[in-house]
Amino acid sequence: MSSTPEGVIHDIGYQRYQGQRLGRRYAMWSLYVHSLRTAFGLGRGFKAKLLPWTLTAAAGIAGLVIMVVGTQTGFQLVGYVDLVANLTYVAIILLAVVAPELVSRDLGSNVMPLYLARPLSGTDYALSKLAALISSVALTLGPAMVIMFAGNAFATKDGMTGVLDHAGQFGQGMAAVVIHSVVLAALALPLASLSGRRIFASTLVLALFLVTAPIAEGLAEFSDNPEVVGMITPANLLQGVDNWLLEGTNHPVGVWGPMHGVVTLLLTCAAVGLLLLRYRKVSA
Amino acid sequence: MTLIESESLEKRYGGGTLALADLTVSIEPGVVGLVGANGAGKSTLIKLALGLIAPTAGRIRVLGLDPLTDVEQVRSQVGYMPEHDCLPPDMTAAEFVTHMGRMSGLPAATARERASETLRHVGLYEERYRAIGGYSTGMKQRVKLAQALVHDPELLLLDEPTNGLDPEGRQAMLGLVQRIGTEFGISVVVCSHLLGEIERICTSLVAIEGGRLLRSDSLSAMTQHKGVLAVEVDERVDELVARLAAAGLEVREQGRELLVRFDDDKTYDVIRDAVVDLDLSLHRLEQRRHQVADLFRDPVAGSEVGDVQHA
Amino acid sequence: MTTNMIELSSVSRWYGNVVAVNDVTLTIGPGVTGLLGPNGAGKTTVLHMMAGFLAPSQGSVLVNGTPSWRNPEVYRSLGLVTERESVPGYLTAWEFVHASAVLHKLPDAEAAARRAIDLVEMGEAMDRRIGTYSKGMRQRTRVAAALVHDPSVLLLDEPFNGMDPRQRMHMMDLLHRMAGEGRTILFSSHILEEVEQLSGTVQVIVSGRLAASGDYRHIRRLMTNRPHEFVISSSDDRRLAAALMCLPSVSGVELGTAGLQVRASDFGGFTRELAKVARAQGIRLSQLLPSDESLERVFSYLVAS
Repeated sequence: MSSTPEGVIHDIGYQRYQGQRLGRRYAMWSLYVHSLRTAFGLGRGFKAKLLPWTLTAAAGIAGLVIMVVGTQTGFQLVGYVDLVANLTYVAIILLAVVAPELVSRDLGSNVMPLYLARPLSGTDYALSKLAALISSVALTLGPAMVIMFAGNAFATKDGMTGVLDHAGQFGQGMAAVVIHSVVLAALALPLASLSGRRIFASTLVLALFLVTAPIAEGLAEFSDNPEVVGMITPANLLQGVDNWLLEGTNHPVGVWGPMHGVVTLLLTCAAVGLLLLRYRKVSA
Repeated sequence: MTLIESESLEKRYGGGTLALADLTVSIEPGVVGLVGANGAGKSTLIKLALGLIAPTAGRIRVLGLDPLTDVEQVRSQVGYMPEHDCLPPDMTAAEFVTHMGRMSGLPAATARERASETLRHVGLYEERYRAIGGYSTGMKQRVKLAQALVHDPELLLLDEPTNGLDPEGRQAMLGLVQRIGTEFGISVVVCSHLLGEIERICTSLVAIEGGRLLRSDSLSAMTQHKGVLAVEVDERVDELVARLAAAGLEVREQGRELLVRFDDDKTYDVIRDAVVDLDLSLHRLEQRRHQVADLFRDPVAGSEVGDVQHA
Repeated sequence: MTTNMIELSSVSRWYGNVVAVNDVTLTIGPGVTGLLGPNGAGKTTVLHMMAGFLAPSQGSVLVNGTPSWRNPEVYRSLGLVTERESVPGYLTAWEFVHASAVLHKLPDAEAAARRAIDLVEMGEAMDRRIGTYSKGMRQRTRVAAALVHDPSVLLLDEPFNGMDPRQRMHMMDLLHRMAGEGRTILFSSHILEEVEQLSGTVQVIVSGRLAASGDYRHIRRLMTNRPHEFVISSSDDRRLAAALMCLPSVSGVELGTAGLQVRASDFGGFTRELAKVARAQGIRLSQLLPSDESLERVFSYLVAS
């Protein structure tokens, strides 16, 4: 052991980066994760968390109440699929808050040029945001399904058949969650992307869902085919799709089922198309 | 490798506006000033370089790559700092720069580390954990620079980096840009309207006007000696003029200065001795150089003002 | 002597508890004067008080001898170009400047507008809509509108913002020309390069106080407590350095890559001795640059102190 004093100065100057550079797909995935975290206010203050978590909790409590009543009294208030439809308003409020948070903020504070100067394109950006929005709706509605299934499967008196029966219903419910999430998010995001001011974007999203509902109701009074005019409001449209594709729903649309399906598909595609078009324009 | 190379590059927009016309230029590594292009020309060139738009004619290469076909490679090696505000007010600088690092393809952990390092290099320390909304203009400019630098690009495009800064902030930003070019070893293309700033930090310069190349050259070539010495003394200028003229020098008075034609090194001695013999105070003695501003000066109207203003 | 003069005496202006301008006394005469200061120092407030937009909370603001506040008469001899652009893009330059002439109730509005447009060299483009102009052209149009009544005093708030080099030079030429006609021109800027090119005379405002007035080189020489810095090149820097160190007027010498850096505590003494020392040592002097006499250095000294 030498006792001579030693010292060293470490280089903390600028370091070049030689490591790997992951490409577009990684950037899209990162943007998706970042956006999903933003949607639920993770890494942000209490205020940003308040609404999304309250809505998720509300949906969960709805599922819990229905499950408890069902297992205690044997009378199921609402089925899996119909619960998803009944939770549409929860989804709408979530969209009105989260969709602007995901896209209007970037437009309003003019961050887009920074994204577009990077490997990912305007389309990549829009698709990542859409995926995050769909996921956030699904994550809000999904837990209610899980709670219902878990409770019912635990309490069932019919043994394995009971569990399997509920598993089937749960599957139907989750399918509804997916359909509703995709359609609602696809409709809301292009609207929100029209304004860089969050308040305007929220208003646009709310207007789509809340203004069309009373109009549909009013028109239905004078129409021979209330199911058809009902399609102008997304909530009814989705119920029609549920009724056509899934089991255990209470909103029959009869022969109009396929038409609901086609309209929904066209509407969703059109909305996504508009969204992509919107972000092509941002880039140029 | 050439930073940006263009051949007969032309960009005409839908409305018929011609932003760039027949631009052939080759920009070599270093700190390069891009001047003269107001509005359309400048932003068009940046967009073409990033592959955001396609040229209507000609071709452009960035770091030897075609920005339209090798989009990902080009953009992962280029950093861009826009002129205007582009930061989300409710994120912290650390969070934002990390996010932007990942958008450029840095793995998550690396992005976090490099964001922290880059923010330190641009001069943001504890503040980086506060929301950007509360930052001063100078701090925001630093964050904008950091996000362009976080992925260690080969080429940095800076659009008016001193915009909105007061004299002190301006000086700090210029120092930073110069350091990036020299110490960090990253090539920089900096757009600025302020020729003095360009002269101070750039190694070469590209001047564009009306969408066409006005001149592209190294800064030393542009600021060569004029063959004129400027001399400034405190008083009795007439006596000095007479004295220098008697020694066979060509002298002209301009403002507070004397402009003396520089013949050879003996000119220096003649001036020195004249000042000593007359017992004058010598305030300034320097070789007059060409200025970048000469490029933009109208040959007739500007020349007079141009020389006076440097007095 | 009150023509073409702006005079502020003990002027303060506060907004609630915020003192934007604090006890400023200054006189500005014909020629170009730069008004400078860090962001938020109170430059715009001063200009607005001069233009009569704002009343001073204390003190008096006189333009050509009459108070500017609530005095429409002042506008007969004063023009103001504000910082914010607010030119209607759907008008042509001619319409805009002509309208300004009409608003001033000039006897021959046509001729006045024509003259103002010629002055800013916008004659060729005056029938195009302002919306199609470049930034520099818009700015010149606004100057024309402010000049239409041939004011003897012209105030400009950040006139060069966003202009490219050629536009800047045109504008500088224009201001020089107008100053040459004997007008009083005061412009604010936080870009020292512009101020330095346009005018040696400055008014420096720091946090609402007038920190210095006059020729900035002269201001620099008044800072006697701060050694003056020079950069010298010679045929033998090292020997010259040794010789200079013996001068009482020199407080420090450093050999650098750019040449010899000298700090002189006595400006007059040093500038008088240097050539003598060089000759005595047989050293050729090829450069003497007062390196801290730039407006930038002077400004930073003023702000820091």
